[in-house]
Amino acid sequence: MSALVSTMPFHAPGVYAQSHARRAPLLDAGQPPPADKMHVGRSPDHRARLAELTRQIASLRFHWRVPSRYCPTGVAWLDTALGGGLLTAAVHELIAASDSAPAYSLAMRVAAQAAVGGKWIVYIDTTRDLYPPALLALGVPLGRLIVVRSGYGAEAFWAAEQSLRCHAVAAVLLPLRNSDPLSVRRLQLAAETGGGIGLLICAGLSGGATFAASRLRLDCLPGRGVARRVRITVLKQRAAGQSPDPLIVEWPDAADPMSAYAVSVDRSSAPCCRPGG
Amino acid sequence: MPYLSIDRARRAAGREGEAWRPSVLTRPAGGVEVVVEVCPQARALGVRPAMTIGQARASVPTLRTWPYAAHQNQVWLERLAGWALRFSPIVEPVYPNTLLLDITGCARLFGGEEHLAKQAVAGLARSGLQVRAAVADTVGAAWALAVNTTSTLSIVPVGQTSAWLAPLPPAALRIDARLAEQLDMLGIRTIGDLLMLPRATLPARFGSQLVLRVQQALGEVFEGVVPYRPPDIPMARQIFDGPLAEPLPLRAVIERLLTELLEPLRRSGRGLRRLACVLYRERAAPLVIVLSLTRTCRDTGHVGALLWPRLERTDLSAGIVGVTLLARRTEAFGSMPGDLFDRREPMDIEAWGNLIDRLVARLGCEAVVRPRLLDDYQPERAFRYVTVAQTGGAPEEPSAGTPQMVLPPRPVRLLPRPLPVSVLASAPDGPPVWLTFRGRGQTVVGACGPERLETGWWRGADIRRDYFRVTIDTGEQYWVFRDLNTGRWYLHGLFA
Repeated sequence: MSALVSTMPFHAPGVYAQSHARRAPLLDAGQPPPADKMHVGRSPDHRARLAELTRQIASLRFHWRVPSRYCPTGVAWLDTALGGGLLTAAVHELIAASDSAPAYSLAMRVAAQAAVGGKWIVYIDTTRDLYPPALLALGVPLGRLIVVRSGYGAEAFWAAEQSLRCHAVAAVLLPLRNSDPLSVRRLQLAAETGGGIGLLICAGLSGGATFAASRLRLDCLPGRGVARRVRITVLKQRAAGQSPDPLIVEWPDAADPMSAYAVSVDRSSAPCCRPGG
Repeated sequence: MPYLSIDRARRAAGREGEAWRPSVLTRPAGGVEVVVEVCPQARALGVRPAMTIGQARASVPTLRTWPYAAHQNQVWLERLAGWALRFSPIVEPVYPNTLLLDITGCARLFGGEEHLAKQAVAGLARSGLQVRAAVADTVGAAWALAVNTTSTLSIVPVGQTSAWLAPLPPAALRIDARLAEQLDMLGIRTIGDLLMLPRATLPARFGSQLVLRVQQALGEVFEGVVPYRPPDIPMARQIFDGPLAEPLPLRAVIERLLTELLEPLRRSGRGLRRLACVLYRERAAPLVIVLSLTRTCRDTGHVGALLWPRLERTDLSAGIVGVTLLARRTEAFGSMPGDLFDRREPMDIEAWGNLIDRLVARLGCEAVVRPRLLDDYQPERAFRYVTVAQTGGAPEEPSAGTPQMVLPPRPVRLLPRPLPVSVLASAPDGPPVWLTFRGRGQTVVGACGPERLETGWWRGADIRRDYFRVTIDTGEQYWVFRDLNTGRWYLHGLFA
């Protein structure tokens, strides 16, 4: 019995929580089995229980989690601060503090990086204002971009959840007015199944707790000329324990020169500077 | 159906008022578009085939043009032939624009030849066609009358064929244009003149074709109609004893029919691409649910999962008395259009196809689209969405047609329609220094531009705009333009 339980090849708290809620209690892999359950298989009653457990384990295989890895964001300093980038098989919230804070650009860059292996990008067009010609400069493969035109609300969430569940989808982008923790939780579970990366672009600030793996906030800062200065604040991060300090980035338009731009860490609202300049 | 191609194009274009302008079909030839077919209105205004489009536009400025699509005409003619099978089992589509029906023995069922012909003409006219129909003893005579009449329907009484043919020109006998010209030069203007000539001398002077056509028209030589066989559509049908209003038993029946339908497909190595589910009702028109799949499929579970939500939204209260499932389009199974060196897992392709099908089934065909860039300088016209149903679900590599224009950066968000803003500019042609947007005044600290776009004059709407990329004091960047025609300022995009 104990051997059987310990061969379960996952350590997913979410999966256990689900199974506990639905079925009879299942032994937790982290704990040793109770002493009175050690000698199973001797009575018919125990054999039945064993069969039931086997069935439960077999059904649990459907909830197999795709292992997470880091997907680079295309912003070198942000990658460093986040420990390698944003996690795949997870949902992330990008909060745009104002209308034109570059949350869309950041999401598109991440999607372009995630889709490198020939997978698809799904954009749920709730705002009806996506401009595809601009995406080319961000490195998005337009031949593998599907735009789903839907209003805000249940249908948009449904489309995002279905897309995240699909193994062929690398990234799902969903602009939202405000995020609802339960819906985000559903999206997170879907992302764990499909292995893609969910990017929720939230307009406005959202204060409450979230089930998303990370929450980033982007503010525009006064700058000079055409160069944009953006402060990126990591509000939540599941992978690394401590959130890094806010970063100030000079935000370029094209995909490539991003890493060439210098960044300062916003400890005392230090001015932005370039290397050697 | 003398204007079949134009009628088809008009029908496809929809919008009645717009479509009924003088129209022509054009085909590219030697670098210019040349008129191929002309509608009666355009012909009355002086447009003729073989004109270039420029010449035609010069005489009729409001001319509508459509590309000539030979294959689509053929497909449509065959569909019409399939439709005409309700009048006679022997129908022959003759390319480009004729349907031959052998109505021997069928007229009785429709209350006489005249009623049958009227029904057929009315049916074709309903689908937007201009029809010329003729009923005669022989194929040749019916053809000659249909081509040379202005009335919608002419009926030749039995045994009077030669009398009706006599006033028509010899060209109506389906002979070569050169032969017709030759006869015309000899003063033989009507078929009557031709019939006066001694028949024995004709082959030596004009070749055997003319005599054959004359004999065919008069019924001296038999000419058959080659029956058209519509493509075999796999189908499964169940008729109930009484009306059924419950979704659950209906679902069970459809599930069984699906298995019945997909089993022969599986054996022949084919898969389903389009399914029509027809629900017959008592005293009401049947309901049709059409399901288009992005890839071939023969999995009952997947098709069912797409069909059930549609069925749930269908009003079954009238009672369903029968169900037919038709495999409208089938393809060789596994023929997913893709890359030979596709490195993706086959399972991924299947999962992707299923996802697209689910999205399309719930949100509708128009909601699932992919962007295509266009070679146009007007920002809102630089791309267009095409539905996945049109393009299929295969990845597209940027083709040679992708615009390679080097333009200043574009905003990620473009407002569906430009938003008027009030602006203060220091110079008449210069960038704004103050911007009022959503009732809030903002100082402009930096501006990049102008990028002048003058385009679209050939579409009738002359676009003249000076675009600026402005940075306001809070660091946000907008894409604004001044309309040079009116001098007004608009916000068009957000660098988000």
